[in-house]
Amino acid sequence: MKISTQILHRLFTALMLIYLLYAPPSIAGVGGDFSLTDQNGDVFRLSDSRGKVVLLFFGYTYCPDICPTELAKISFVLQQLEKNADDIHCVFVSVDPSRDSTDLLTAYVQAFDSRISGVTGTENELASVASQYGISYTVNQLAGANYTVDHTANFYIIDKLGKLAIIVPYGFPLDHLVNSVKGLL
Amino acid sequence: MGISRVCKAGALSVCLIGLWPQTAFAIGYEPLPYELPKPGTYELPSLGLAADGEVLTSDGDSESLHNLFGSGNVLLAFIYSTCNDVNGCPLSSYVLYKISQKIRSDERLRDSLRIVSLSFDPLRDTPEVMNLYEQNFSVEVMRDSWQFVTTAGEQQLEPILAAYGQDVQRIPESETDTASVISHTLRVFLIDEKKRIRNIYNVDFLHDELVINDVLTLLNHHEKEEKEKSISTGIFKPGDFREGYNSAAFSTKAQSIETREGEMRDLLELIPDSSLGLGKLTVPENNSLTSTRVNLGRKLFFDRRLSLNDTFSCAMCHIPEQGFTSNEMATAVGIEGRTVRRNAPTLLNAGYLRTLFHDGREYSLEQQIWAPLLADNEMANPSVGYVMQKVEKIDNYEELFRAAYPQHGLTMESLGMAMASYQRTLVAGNSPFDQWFYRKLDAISDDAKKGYELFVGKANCVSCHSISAKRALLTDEKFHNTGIGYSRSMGLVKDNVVINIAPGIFVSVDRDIVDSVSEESHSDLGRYEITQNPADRWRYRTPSLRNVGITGPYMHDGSLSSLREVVQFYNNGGIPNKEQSPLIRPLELRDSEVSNLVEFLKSLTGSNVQALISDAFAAPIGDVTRRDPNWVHGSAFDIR
Repeated sequence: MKISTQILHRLFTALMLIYLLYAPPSIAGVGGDFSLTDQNGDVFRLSDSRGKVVLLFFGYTYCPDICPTELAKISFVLQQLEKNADDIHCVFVSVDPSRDSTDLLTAYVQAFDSRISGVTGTENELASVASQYGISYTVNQLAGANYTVDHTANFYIIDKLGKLAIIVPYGFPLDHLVNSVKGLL
Repeated sequence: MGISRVCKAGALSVCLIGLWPQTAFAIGYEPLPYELPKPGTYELPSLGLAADGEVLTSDGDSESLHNLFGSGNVLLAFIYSTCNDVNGCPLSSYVLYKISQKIRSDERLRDSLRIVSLSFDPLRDTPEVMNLYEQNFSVEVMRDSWQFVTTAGEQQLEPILAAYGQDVQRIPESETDTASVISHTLRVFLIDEKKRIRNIYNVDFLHDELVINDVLTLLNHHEKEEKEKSISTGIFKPGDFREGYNSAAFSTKAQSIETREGEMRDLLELIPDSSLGLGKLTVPENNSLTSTRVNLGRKLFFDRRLSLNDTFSCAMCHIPEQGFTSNEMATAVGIEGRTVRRNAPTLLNAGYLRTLFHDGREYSLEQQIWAPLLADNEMANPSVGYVMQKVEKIDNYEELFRAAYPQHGLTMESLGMAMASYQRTLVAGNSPFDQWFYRKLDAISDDAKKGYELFVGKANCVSCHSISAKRALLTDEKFHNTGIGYSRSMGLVKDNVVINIAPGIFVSVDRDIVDSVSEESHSDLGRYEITQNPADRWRYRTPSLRNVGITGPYMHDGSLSSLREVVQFYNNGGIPNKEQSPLIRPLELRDSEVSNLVEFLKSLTGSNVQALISDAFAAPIGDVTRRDPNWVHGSAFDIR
């Protein structure tokens, strides 16, 4: 009797483990917490920003077109909501860890606004975040060692409770982005 | 604010506009560099039906695309969230966002335009992701105005993409990554309330002002159509002939008997001239046309004593000055106001027809006359013998019959022969169309000529309303189901009846009230009633279109009052039903083409119609006199 309970217990634990390992991300829902490394080399955990509205954007510093304009938009949002800037955390996730060193990332985001966090991680860590948020990125090999990365260009706005609240499609005007962030403050 | 401006406002060194692969921004990001025509001043022809399909809403519910489209206009855009070509999905998001703001601020658009974004990427774009897109509008009143939907998987998505001609290429990535890059061409579809695609915008045309202009154009056209519908009788409304009746300036074409001035003609003399385009009139061997017979037939035609209560002549439904039909009655009315199911057909050119009545139940004018004489809701005579005895006693009919038909005298047969003779003289060809078509004279307008081209071409009216190199009877004399009979039988009616109670004055009355005071309508199954063949249900004889400009209202039940309504009815493809003729289908005619067809139809009025009317006016009306015996009860009392 005692043994069988123990076996059942172990079996249950094993099944739970299998479930947790293989459960598709959609069951857990879009979004959620993740851990990466910030521009200072420290651990960046999204859940550390609870209590703030997080404006999340994916890109890379070599990005020729989209990222600079989108970062400029982020900086504009911060300026527009200057009074509440402490309640807003803007996060730029680089999906190009092989080129984007912490130094480069720091210099890049600082050029737009010193309040923006530039974070990245290992290939595996990034793949996990991408899957959580339903974003994609693909390397386009160019001549020589050069390459670009095609990536999802939406803004992801996470509310103060850490829940993904709005996906703002790339292309929506700046005013809308400002208002969307403001609406969650 | 354009993206380029944001970039310039942004940080210095990284603003690399000059190095961008796509230096040219699509037109949608900029002010429109040209002036648009006024909404409603141009046409947006249908580009075909927008396909249906099975999608998932942001709540995860399965829904058909057509249901989502609802009953207004829709902009349908295909998206995928990982699209990042600046002139692709972001352009559509940018432009559609601007349009969404216009929808929010404009009441007219709010009620009539919605946006549906459908994802290409069922793998990533789950209903939950679609919901997160919709959250952009969570605080706004117009949440339903922009829906983001996806599909359950490739199986549901592929047929939709194929139907909308969206060429999607999935490029497999590295073996470790199951995701794929999707490349597609930007296309946004404008779909009207009837689920027809009215415009497709690509990167060169997707601009909020242009799209809104098109939507306003559709709304203007739609409103105009609705307005026309509300002031016309529509299909389901028993309509008087009301060309112009919606205007307070209307005056009837009927003339009081006292004011009529006519001139008796020898009708046989008129035939050669008036038959251009109709060919030779065939007359039965035993009833050759003579003036004596025609004159006798005419006398009978205008004699009210040929009815049960001495009040109702043939001419009271086949009114000469109203095209030998009744312009002011949808369906005929017999003695004592009795209801007849169908519209009185014109007698003009009846001599050329081999099938008579809307259901083709008779083939000769000689026999045909007995139907209205004996029908209890028309002239209501109780029997053949009753009619014969009565005519024998009136005036000098016996004498006239002996002169016209020496072999017969007054018999049941010769009575039909005399009536047939008069009707055969009502020949009305030699119309402006005939002069143009057969004599090459410049007798019709350019619009009517365009109408003719449509008639024999795009609209293909000629497939039933025949025209040949020698003659144009403009009917195949066959039976077709347009759907009008079907809709009547099925009671497909509106809840309200708009009634034109006086010229220019309308009231809307609840259908129940109208029904409560109306005579119960008789069923009408058309040709089936004669053949008993189920396939013949709701088929009616193709009428000749000769003189159609003066013989309204139209269709077997007179339910359409103007030629424009008739053309529009066929343009819409009639009323679909299982037995509908396959020849009837939506014609996609533009407004101007409808007008051209109407012009053509008006050119079919015969040259001698006025002479026939004048002759009819000169004919004496047979009324009861003191000399007439009282045959009603066979008694002697004399009150007449």
